[in-house]
Amino acid sequence: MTRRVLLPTRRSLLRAGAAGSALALFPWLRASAAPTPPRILLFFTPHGTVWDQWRPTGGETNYTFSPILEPLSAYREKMVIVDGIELKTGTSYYIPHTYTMPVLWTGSPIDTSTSEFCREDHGQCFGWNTGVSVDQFIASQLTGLATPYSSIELGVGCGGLHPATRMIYTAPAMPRSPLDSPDIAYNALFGTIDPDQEQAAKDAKRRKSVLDNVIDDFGSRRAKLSAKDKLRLDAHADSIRELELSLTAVCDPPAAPEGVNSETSIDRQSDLIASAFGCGLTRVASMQVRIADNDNTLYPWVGLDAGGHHTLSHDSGEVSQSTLAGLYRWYSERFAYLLDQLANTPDSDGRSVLDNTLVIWGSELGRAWDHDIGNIPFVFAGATDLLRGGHYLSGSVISLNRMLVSACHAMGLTDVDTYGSLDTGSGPLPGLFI
Amino acid sequence: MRAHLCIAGLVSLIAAAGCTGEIGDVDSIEGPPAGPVCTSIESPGAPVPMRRLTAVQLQRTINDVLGVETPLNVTDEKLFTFRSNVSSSIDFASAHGYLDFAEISVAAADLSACTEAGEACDAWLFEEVGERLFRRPLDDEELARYQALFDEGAVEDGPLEGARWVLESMLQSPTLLYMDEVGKDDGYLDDFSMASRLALTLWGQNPDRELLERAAAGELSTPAQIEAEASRLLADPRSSGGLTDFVDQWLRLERLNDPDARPDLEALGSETLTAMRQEPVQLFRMLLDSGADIDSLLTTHTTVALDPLTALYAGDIVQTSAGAFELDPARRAGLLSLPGVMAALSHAEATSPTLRGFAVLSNFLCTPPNPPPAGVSVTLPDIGEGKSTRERLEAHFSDPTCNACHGPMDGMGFAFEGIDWLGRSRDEEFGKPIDDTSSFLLDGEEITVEGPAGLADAMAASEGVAKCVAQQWASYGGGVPDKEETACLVEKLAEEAQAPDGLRSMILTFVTSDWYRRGPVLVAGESP
Repeated sequence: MTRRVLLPTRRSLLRAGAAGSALALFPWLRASAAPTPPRILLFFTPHGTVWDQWRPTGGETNYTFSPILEPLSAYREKMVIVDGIELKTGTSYYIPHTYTMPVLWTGSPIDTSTSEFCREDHGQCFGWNTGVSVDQFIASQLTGLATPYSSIELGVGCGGLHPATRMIYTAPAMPRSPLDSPDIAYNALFGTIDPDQEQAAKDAKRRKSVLDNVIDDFGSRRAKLSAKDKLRLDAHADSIRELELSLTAVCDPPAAPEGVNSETSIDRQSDLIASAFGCGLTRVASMQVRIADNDNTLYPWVGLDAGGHHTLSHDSGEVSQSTLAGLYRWYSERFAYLLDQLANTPDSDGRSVLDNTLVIWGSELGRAWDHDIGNIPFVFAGATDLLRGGHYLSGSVISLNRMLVSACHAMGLTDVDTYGSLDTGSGPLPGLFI
Repeated sequence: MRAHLCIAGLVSLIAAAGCTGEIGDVDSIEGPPAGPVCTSIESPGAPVPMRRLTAVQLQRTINDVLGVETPLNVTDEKLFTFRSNVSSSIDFASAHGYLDFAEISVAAADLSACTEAGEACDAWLFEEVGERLFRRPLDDEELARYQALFDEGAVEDGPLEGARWVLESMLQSPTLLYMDEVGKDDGYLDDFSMASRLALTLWGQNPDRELLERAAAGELSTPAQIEAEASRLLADPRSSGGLTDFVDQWLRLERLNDPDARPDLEALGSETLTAMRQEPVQLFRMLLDSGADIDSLLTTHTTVALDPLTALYAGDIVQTSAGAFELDPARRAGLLSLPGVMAALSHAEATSPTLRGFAVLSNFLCTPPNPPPAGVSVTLPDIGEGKSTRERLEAHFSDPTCNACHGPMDGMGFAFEGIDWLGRSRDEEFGKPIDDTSSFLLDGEEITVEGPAGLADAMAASEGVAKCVAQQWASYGGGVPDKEETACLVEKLAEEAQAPDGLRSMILTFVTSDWYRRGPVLVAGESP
C-alpha cells in the first residue's frame, strides 16, 4: 500500500523553512531549530549469552571480536562492549527469569510483599515490579518541547501480562506493554491518521469527543474500590489522554511493513523505530525480543529446529551450546541491522539518528543453563559525542545500577548519581563515556 | 547433522529436567506441599479485585450484542492457570488496541436502527445495546452525556454518525471493560453484579437481556433463583464460551497454536488443529449434558465425533454412532488422552513424558513437583542413538537428585507414550515396542498401571483428583487462585462431582455458594 501524505510533513516543513501557522500544529518540530536533543533506545534479547563465543579476546582497544559479536564489527568505533555487569535480585529467593526481568532496567527488586502471581512449583507468590524503568524515568524528566509520544515500546513475541514478560514500568505494578508486532506498531504509529486531510480532521474531532466521553465514564463506578484499583483506573485514564496526544502526531509514514514473519519481524520493528526517531515522534524507545520466561520458540534458520530456545538453553552440553551461540550471533545480526537503520536515518542536525542516540543492549540473564546473573552481557552503541567508542571494558561485579545511571547521564540528567533501590554505589559506569 | 538432530531432540524431551553440574543436596528436596485443609464453613466471600474482561470475553460480548467479529490486540494477565485481569492497568498499547477494536467493530456493525433520530434509535442505542454493554441500565447522568455525544455526532453527519460516536465511546468505556461489583448490606452481591458474574463464569461474556431483566426484578438473590438462572445459562449454546475458557486454560491448549514453537502442529492445517483444540471442551459439554460425573471425564472412551480428527484417530475409532466416536479403550481414556491434550503436552516432533507427568501432577492432582535445583544442566547421559524416549529419560533416574522429581513425574508421563506428539497412537519407537507401563505415587502409595486407561482408572479412584478438579473450577469461577478460604467448599464440590450428574452439581453448587455470591471484600487497611 502506498500512502500519499497530503498534510505537511516534517521534511517538507524543514524545506520550507518551517515557519508560520503549520508549526503551531506540530510544536515538537520546533525542537529541530535547537541543537538535536539526545535520545535513548533499550534493546532486549532473552536468556543471556554463550560467554566463550561472546567474549572478545585481547585488550581494551586492540580486542578481536568473537563469533557472537562479530556481526557488529562495522560499529567498532561507535560502541563499547561491557563484560562484568552483575544483576542482583534483591530477594532472598530467586525464581529464575521472573525475578530478574523487572530488575533489568529498574535496578529495583520484584515485589515479594504481595501475592498476585503464584508459582506453586516454587512455593512462591509475588507481585509486579517495585521500581520505575530508567527509560520511563528519563521520559518523565525531559525538559523542552514535548514529543507526541513520551516513549515508544516495540516488541516481538511478548504475549501474556506477567512480570517475566515485561521490562518497562512507569511506576510500581505498572508495566508498559510493547506494540508487539510490526503490523500493530505500524498501525499505531503511522496508520491511524488518514492521509486525506479532510478525513483526518473529521476523525480527529470525533476521536477527541469520543475519548473525552470515555474519560467522563471513569466517574461512573458503583463499586467501592481498593486503593490499588483506584490507581489502576487512574493509570487507564492517563493512557487515554496519552492516546489523545499521540493522535495529533503527523509523520510522513514509511512504507508499511511487508513480508513479516518470525525471521523478519525484529528487523521490521527496527525499521519503524528508526522512522519514529527520524520523524521526531519520541526521544525514548525500547525494543523487546521475546520474553524472559519459558519461551520455546524454534529458530530453524540458525539450526535451532528442535526443543526450543528455553529448553536448549538449559543444556550445557557442547552441541546445544554451539546451537545456542548460533542463535545469539543471529541476535547480534539483528542488533547490527537496527544500528544500520539508525545510521541511515538522517537527523535534524545533518548527522545520523544513531549519532544522537544511546542504544543499550541487555538481557535478563547472563548464562542460561544455570540461570547465572553474576555477569550480564551488555553492548552500548551510538551517542557519538559521548560514548568512548572502540573500547571493550572488562571487569567484574560491576553493579547493574551503574549502567542505569549512565543512561540518565547520556540523556542530560547528570545530577543523577544513583538509580534504583538496589543501588549501593554512585555515578555512571567508569570508562563508558568520553 | 543427524547427530545434532538427535541430541537436540533428546533435550526437548525434558522441559525442566536437570542432571549434571553442581547439584543440590537431595535431602533438601521437599515433598509436595500439604493441601489446604477445611477448617471453617463460614465464607467471607471471594476477595476479587476489580476484574477487567479478558480479550476473548470482550470479543464474545461485542459479537453477541453487535453481531461483529473483531480482532483485539490487548494482552491478558497470566496470573495462575486461568486468565484473570486483576492486577494490571491499561497502558498506551492497550488503549490503542481498544480504540482500534471500537472503531473497527462499530464500522462493521448494523446501525440502521438509527437511520433516523428518535425513540426507536434511542431504545436500541441506550437500552438494547447500552444496557447489555454496561451490564445495567444507564443512569441519568450517563444518558444525558451520551445523548449529548450523539447530538454532537449527528450535527456533523446525521444520526448514523451520532450512533457511531456513542458506540465507539461505549466500547472503550471503563464501565464495559471492568466488572463493577457492588455488595448489598447483607454482604451478598446485588442482583446486577450477580448477573454479571454468572454470565462471565458460565458464558465468558456479558449477560443477555433476560438475565438483566431477572436482575432488574430482584430475582437473583436466593440460591434457588440463582440455580434456576444458572441452569438456563448452561443450557444456552453461549455457555460454550465459559466452558471453553475453563477447559482450554486448564489444559493449556493455547500451546497448540504457537507456530514458532510447534511448526509440526501448524502443518496439520487449521481445520484439524481447530478440531484438536475444540474437542476437549466439546467432550466436557457432552458429558455435562449427559449427566456424567467426574470419573467419566477421566475414563470415558466415547468422544464427540469431529470429522477432521478421523485421520488422527485412525484405527482408534472402533465405532461411530450419532455424534460420537467410540474409541479403543486400550488406547484412549478420558480427557487427558485426547489428541489435542497430548499434542499440547509435547514438543515439536517429540513426546514429553515430563510435560505430561507435570500436567497430571499440577493440573489434576494439584501437587506440582518442585523446580529443578539451582545450577543443574539438562544434558542427558549419552546412551547412543536409536534409544526410545523412555530409555533416554530413565538413564538419568540413576542420579538421585534427578530421580527425586523425575522418577514420579516422568514415570506418570510414560503411561502416554503410546500417543505421539500429534496425538496419534503409536505402537513402536525406533522399531521397538512402546512400553507404557507407568509407576508413580498416588495418595501416598506406589502403584503401577498400564497405559492411559490404567492411569485414568487410578486417577478416578483417587480422592485427590476430584478435589483438584473442583479446585480448578473454583479458581476459574472465582477469578483468583484462592486455596485456603475455599477449602471446605472444594471438599463439598469434589464430593458432589463424584455423584451422578456430578459435573453439573459441581458447577451449580459453586455459583450458588456463599463464596461466589458474596461481594468483593476490601483488603484490610485499604480504605474504599
